Amino acid sequence: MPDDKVDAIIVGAGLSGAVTANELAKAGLTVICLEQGDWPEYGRSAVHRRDSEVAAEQYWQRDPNVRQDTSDYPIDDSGSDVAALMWNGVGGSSVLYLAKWNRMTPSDFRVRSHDGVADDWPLSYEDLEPHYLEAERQFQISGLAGDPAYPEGDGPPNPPLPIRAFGARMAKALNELGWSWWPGASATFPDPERSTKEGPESIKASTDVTHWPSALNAGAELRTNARVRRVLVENGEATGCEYIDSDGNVQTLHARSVILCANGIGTPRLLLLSATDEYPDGLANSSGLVGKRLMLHPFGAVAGLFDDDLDTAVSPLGQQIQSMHFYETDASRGFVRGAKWGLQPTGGPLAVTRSYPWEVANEVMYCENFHETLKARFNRAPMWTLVAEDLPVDTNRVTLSDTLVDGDGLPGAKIEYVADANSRALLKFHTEKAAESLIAAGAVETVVAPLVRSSGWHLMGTAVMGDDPANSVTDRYGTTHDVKNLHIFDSSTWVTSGGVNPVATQAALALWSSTHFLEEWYAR
Amino acid sequence: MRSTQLSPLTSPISTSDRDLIAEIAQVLIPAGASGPSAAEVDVAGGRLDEFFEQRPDLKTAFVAIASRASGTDVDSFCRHLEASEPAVFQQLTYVIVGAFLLSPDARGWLGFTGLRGEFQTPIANDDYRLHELLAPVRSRPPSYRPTAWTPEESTA
Repeated sequence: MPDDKVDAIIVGAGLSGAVTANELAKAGLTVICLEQGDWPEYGRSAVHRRDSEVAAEQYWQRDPNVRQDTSDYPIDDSGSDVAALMWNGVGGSSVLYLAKWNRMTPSDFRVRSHDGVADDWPLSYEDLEPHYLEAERQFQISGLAGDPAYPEGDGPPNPPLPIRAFGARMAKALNELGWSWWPGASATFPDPERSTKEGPESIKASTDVTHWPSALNAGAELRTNARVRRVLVENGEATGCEYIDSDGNVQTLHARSVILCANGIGTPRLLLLSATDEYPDGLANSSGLVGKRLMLHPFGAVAGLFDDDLDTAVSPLGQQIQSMHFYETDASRGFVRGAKWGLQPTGGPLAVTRSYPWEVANEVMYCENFHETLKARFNRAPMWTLVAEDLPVDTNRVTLSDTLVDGDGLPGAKIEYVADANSRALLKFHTEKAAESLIAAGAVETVVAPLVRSSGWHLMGTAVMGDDPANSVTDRYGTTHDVKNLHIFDSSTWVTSGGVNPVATQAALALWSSTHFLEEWYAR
Repeated sequence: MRSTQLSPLTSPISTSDRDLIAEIAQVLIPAGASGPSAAEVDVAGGRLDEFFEQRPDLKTAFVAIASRASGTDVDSFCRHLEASEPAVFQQLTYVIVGAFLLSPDARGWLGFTGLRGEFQTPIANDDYRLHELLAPVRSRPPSYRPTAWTPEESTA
């Protein structure tokens, strides 16, 4: 191995890559992160501009197949109920997420023991709790401790966001129904100084803002427009990566360890691209599970139309209130597991003519109905979004595309994903209950989207962790069973998906894995 | 060098295409309602140009869809397109409504002054209104299942 090797290459500068780079660099390791995209240019579409709704759909497009930036790779989703969404660049999809922050619950890590399906995680809520707390400190989360849906303990460092008029309306309705709710936890900064001093991009906790400045200051190096095409392996050890720079030149970088943080599609894609004679089925794939067990959180949305203005025409970051009332399994419902509800605004006037849940109701939108329909939705339509747990199955998977290639000629990804009967029954129940709550709050109409296709933000499970190398790709800390200095610190390792937005757990997992990585490093 | 997949179209929209777009827009956003019509805010003129300044990538497909209405009854064309090709209809309406909503008159009619940045003054942790609302929730037992929970506990 050459002498110029760095301690760690991190592939991907998104949520996990940023958290990991920050931890390792602060500990004094030499770290180079290779990121196929670039820094976000917030000035290209700022929320206060008159054309922001129009412009946002291009630069901030959530579907890489539509955006087709040079940083993107194509994803054949023709065999999937849900389209995969992501933003490839510094900060990753945290640049585009809606900043909803929810821990998983203890039972989310014990799905097999509690409900007899899927598998238990090889770690517990209690293992992750200190890392949740640290992540909430690092991301400066707003929220309130004490939600009875979780064990007692400390909560986010900042108070919750206002629940707004529509949050109060829904909270009262849920109280009358006897259903639990709680002020939403959100990754939006509560500090007005920060907002005014650093510009609109500083409103939300994306890792280009929260982590990369610190990581770079600690000595991490970030190479943008650097697309990794292969992890190099020699004698059973990862020796580095080959990547293609922005000029199309192939570069080789050597390292003592390689950490993949390229998301639940990018990571299995890279492992499959790294196949060799020694690893003909892809790297770290002796279990045959690389790419399998893809989970995408089938997603439903229910909006209510009210007769009065409820201040819903604001940018939909964070969540006003959340409800876990129907989160835990109740066998009498005919399905297992549950979904978190998050109440949010529905945004500007263009947003309420399209996307979810409006697409299912747009047959009355145009022509003679246009003005009255738009008026009825604008500023009067809070929306529950429902993040449903889906269970891992081998047939939901990521493979390499036979037909699509990225801008560097590398095979794109192909996803196959079918929301199963349990997911569909779960969403039916939850959307009906969410609609019931909106009617109880005074909505004159509800619009229900039971399974939104363009909703695959949460990419999980495609390099599952476990104690047994025969049925897992990594150990509980994200170290691959097959290649001991190759690690996966992103959501590919998730055993099950939980039914909440995954960013909190993924941030905590990256801290958990990084902490163990450093313990092992210093123990050598 | 990597290939750039976007190829913005910069050629102008022809007068005949613009006339057709104006007809389509007026069908989708007609006069006689509580707000301005497409024609009243010049959707097919300046608003469309303004829209495509931001989204040149959509121009070719949009003009191609609109041109399919040539020689047809535009009202029937729109209704048929919506019923038979909803995804294509959405491409059409996205541009027309997007252009419409760039108009100060349309925004004024809605009372829309633009999206606000999301900074919000946080609630104080001791806010009495919030805690009054939360009292019924806090009075209930915890709803989570602890790590060591067993299925027998649900029937106990």
